[in-house]
Amino acid sequence: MGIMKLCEKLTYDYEKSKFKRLSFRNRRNMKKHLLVCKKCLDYVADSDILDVLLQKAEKSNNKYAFSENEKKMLKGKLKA
Amino acid sequence: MPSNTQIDSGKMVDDHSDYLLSFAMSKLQDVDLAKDLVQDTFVSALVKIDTFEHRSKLRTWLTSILNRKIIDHWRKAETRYTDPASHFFSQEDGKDNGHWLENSGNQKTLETIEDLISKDETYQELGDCLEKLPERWRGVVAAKYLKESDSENICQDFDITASNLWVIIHRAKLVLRDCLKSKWEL
Repeated sequence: MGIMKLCEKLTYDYEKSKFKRLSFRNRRNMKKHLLVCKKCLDYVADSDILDVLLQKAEKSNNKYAFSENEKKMLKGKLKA
Repeated sequence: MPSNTQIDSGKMVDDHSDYLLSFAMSKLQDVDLAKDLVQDTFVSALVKIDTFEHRSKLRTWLTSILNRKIIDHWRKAETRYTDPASHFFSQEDGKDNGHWLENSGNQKTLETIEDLISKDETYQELGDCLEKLPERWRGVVAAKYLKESDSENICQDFDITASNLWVIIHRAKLVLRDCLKSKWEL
């Protein structure tokens, strides 16, 4: 692959790096690639913004429950 | 300890159905499907009640049956969809394989909408975009970002490897980014 990592691999590695430290070689190649690839640089910025958006998204506090009628029907099916 | 034949199906529904539904919803985000799978879980549990050895709590046993049903559902569903993130990079054989396609990733970045982040509309649109993800991807993203589960638990809950997790997050973000940009016409 050489110095120019492919964009798909680079963006994957960027996401992976948020879970696990990349090797020195991978980090070096990523830096070099981002110096010359505007699209990947934009992806990296967008990825970080998406992290913030997703983390700030309203946490679901919904408690899910069967209605009494649904429970009655469920019990009926299980007894049948 | 009650014998297995003494386990009352009505009491089982009263005691565990809502818990199982919440568990299913944490992974599926589809209430009708979740209810169907909870019902299937109770049916399966009664069919194989003789195999319940009381080494775990009844709820734990039911949850493991439900979890297996959810994973089976994802496996079946995944044979029916094409990868929604497959059109962002060139896929031809040769040295240009894996580069951004000309019409992808070349517009403005999401930074231009950062001032909208606090608005409900933004979250509504993000929610709409999340709906476009395949079910398992949606569950993984929800577990990672909304519920802030750690990687190990996510891999265990969704029956995936760490590599699978990274691939799903990567491809889900490609789809979400594209979806948000098209909504905001960036």
